Parts: sequence; C-alpha cells; structure tokens
Amino acid sequence: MNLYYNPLQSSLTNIPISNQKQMPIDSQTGFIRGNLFANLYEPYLRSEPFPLKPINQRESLLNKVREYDFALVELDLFLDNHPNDQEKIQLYNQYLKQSKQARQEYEQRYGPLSLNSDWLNTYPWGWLTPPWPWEVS
Amino acid sequence: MWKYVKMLQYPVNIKNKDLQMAKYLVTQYGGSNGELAAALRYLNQRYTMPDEKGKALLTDIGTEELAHLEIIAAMVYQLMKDATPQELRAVGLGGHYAEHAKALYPTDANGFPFTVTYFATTGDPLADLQEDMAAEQKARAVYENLINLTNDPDVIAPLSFLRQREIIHFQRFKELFEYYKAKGYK
Ligand SMILES: [Fe+2]
Repeated sequence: MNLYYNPLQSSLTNIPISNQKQMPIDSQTGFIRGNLFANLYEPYLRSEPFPLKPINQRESLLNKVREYDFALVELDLFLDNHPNDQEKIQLYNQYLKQSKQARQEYEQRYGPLSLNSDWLNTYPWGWLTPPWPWEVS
Repeated sequence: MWKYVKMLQYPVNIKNKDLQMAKYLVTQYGGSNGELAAALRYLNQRYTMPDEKGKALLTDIGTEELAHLEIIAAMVYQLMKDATPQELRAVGLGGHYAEHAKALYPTDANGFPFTVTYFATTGDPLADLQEDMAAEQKARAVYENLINLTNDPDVIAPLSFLRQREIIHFQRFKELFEYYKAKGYK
C-alpha cells in the first residue's frame, strides 16, 4: 500500500513557489486542509485532507467560526508580506463579516466565545458555560 | 496584549486513550521544535525586526503558534485523562506521574524539560529568519514522524492540519527573508 504522498508527483517540484500566483481556495476546503493556498498545499498522507466529523450541532456551528477565522489567519499572514494586494484585502473583509455572523449564531445558542461577546449580559455569568476547548464536547 | 478565544483553532476529539502517543506527542508541547518554543521564539524576535512587515509577521505567526500549543495540549490531555498510575508507569510515564500527576508539563518525547535555549535569537533579522525557516521545517518533519507513530484518525487529522501550518509559516518567513535580503538589511 502506498500510503505516503510522493513529492516527485507534485506539480510544485522545481517551480519556485514565490513566482506562482497565490490564489486562495474556498474557506471550507482550506480549513480542512490547513492551507488556503492551492499552490502551497503539499499533503503527506494519501488520505488527506480529513473531512470534519462534528460530533454534535454545537461543534458544527463552531466549525463555521473556525473556518472563517482560519481564512482570516491565512489572508493576514499573506497580507503582512503583500500589503498592496487589494483583492486579498477585500476577501479579508468579506470573511470578517462571515466570521462575525457565524459567531453570533454560535454564541446565542451556546454562550460567549470571548470576553467582548454580545452575549455576556446574562445571569449567572455566561463565561463559565462549558465545555472548555480542551474537553471532548 | 492578547485576548482569549474559547475554542481550539482546529477540533480535537480523541476517543481512545493512548499513553504511548501522549508521551511522544508532548514533544510538540515542550520539545526544541515544539509549539511553545516556536511561539516564544517569534514573539521574542519581533522586537528587533527592521520594519513593519517583520514586526507584523512575527507577531501574527507567534500568536498562531500559541493556538497550536493549545491544540497539542488538548491532545495530550485527552490521550491521558483516563489513565491510572499503573498504566502511566507501564509506558514509562511513572516519573511524570511522580512529579506532576496528570498535569501537563512541557518536555520533549524523552522527558527532557523545556528550556529557553530553544528561543534562538541573534538580533540579526536575516539570521533570525533563517533560524525560523529551519524551525518550521524541523517542526514539519517532527509532525511527519508523529503521524508515522499512530493509526488513530482522531490523532492524525489535527497533526496533518498542524503540519500544513508549518508549510505556510515556512513560506511566509522565506518571503520576508528574500525581501529583506533584496533590501540589504543586515
Ligand atoms: Fe509554525
């Protein structure tokens, strides 16, 4: 069984990565891959990428927040080096909007994700709402 | 300053206890190529970056590494949370149990504790960025070694995610390195 990705079959071989156009793929695929840029993606296992298997409704709403936040991380790191890429700046602001929407949807059902959430005016103090990130939900 | 977001960057839901894997995985918590070393190295180097690009990139990648530290910690915690002292002893974690019970403690896979020498900072932006590029390659290689040590998809999926992040970080450091070199920074 050939479990591992063969780098010789990669189209990236011998092409200087910095000369290629770095086009972001869709946020969902990007998040599952851990890499928003098709030309930088180098899987290790043939079984990659691994589809998300949310274990409940809470986790699947949280995955939407994660997905948009991930796109924001990727675009920000790119823009630090390429601050004149207008397209990417627009895309950043589009994902920012989607991230805020996904957060609202999650937080109104499952409690605040941060201490500047709109959902902290609750009694008792909503920040204590479980689970904490390291716990199996 | 930093603000906490109460979620992992990538989901971790490990169903099966695997103490041996916890013992190996902890190296990405407290080993020389681990996430703690990476986060602190970049956040420490950023003060002497020569321009706004460098200050931003080192801050932002350093911050992302803190999120990766949390993913690794969650994995180690979940892999060993149901262990008994005898089970820990059986995989060579008796010493860990004696000192820390089931608390997390940053060491490498051989139990060697975290040390600040992993920060590796010279104040020379080109030397520091090359150090960072090498660090990202080493972290990627360690993720591949760890993936080879398990068959559990609950463990492999987050490791693959983290491995890809090292590829991106390497690329961003390389871009900045080449830009600085062309500008003649020393
Ligand atoms: Fe990294």
